[in-house]
Amino acid sequence: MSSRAITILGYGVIAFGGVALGAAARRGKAAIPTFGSVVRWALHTRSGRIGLFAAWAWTGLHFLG
Amino acid sequence: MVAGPPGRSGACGMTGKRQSRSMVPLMRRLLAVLRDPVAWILVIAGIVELISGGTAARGAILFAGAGLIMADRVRSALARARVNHGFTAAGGAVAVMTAPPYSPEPLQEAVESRRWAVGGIAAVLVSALFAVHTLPVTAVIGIVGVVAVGWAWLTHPHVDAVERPPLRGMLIWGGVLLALGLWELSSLLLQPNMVEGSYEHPTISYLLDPFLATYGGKVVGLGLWALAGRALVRRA
Repeated sequence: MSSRAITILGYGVIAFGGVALGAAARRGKAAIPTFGSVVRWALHTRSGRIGLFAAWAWTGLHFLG
Repeated sequence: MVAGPPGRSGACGMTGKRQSRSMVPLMRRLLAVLRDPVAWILVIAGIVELISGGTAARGAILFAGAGLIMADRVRSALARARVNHGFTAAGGAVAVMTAPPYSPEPLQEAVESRRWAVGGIAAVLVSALFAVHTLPVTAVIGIVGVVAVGWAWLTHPHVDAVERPPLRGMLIWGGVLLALGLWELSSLLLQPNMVEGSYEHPTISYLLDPFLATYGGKVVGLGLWALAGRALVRRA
C-alpha cells in the first residue's frame, strides 16, 4: 500500500469515526452528546464563541480565500 | 506636635492592606488570561499557518481571535475587580450596574430572512466565478469572517443557560478533532517542505484543490462554508 493510500485511508478512518460517533450520539444509546450540542454549549462561553467564529473564518480563508 | 485622630493611621494601614489584598485576585485573574486553552489553540494554529506558507490574512484571523479572547478576559477581570472595590468601599452590598449587552437577535433574524438567503446564494455564485486563493474571493471571505468574529465578540449569548454536555463526551469529540489535526500535521511535516504540497503525503487542502478548481466545486465549497456560518449564528 502506497504512502498516499495510507494517508487518505487515515482521513477516511477519522471521518468514519466522526460519523459513527454522531450516529451513536443521535441514537442516544451512549452518553455521548451530539456534535451540535457541544457546539451550542461552546457558543455560550465567551472564548468558545470567539474561537468557533475565528476557526470558521479561517476555514474559509484556508481552503477558498 | 499635634497628634492625628486616634486610629487614623491604623485605618490607613488597613486600607493599604485591603488594597494590596484586592490586587492579588486581580493579578491572579489577569494571569488566568494566559491559561485560556482556546486562545492558545488559535495562536498555535496561526503559527502553523504562517510557517506552512499561509497568507497573512489567514494567520491574522486566528491571532485576532486569540487577541479578542484575551482582551475579553482582561476586561472581565478588571470589571470584577472594580465591583469588588466598590463592595469594599461601600462597606456592604452595592448594586452592580452593567451596560445591557447588545442583543444578537437582529443578525439571527436577518440570516433567517429570504432576502439574506437570496443575497448569500448570489454572493456564492458570483464569488465562484473567480479562482480560489485570489483577491476577490479572499476579500469576500475575509470581510464576512471579520464581521462575524467581531459580532461574536460584541454580543452575548441569547440564551443564558445551556446545559453543559458530559465531559467524557466532549473529550471524545475533542479526540476526533485532535486526531484529524495530528494526521493533517503529520502529512504537512512529511511534505518536501512546508510550502510545497506532496502527492504521497497529501494534506486535506491538497486533496481538495482539484475539486475546488472547478466552478461546481467552488459553489459547493463556498455554499457549505456559508451554511456553516449561518448555523453558528443561529445557535449563538
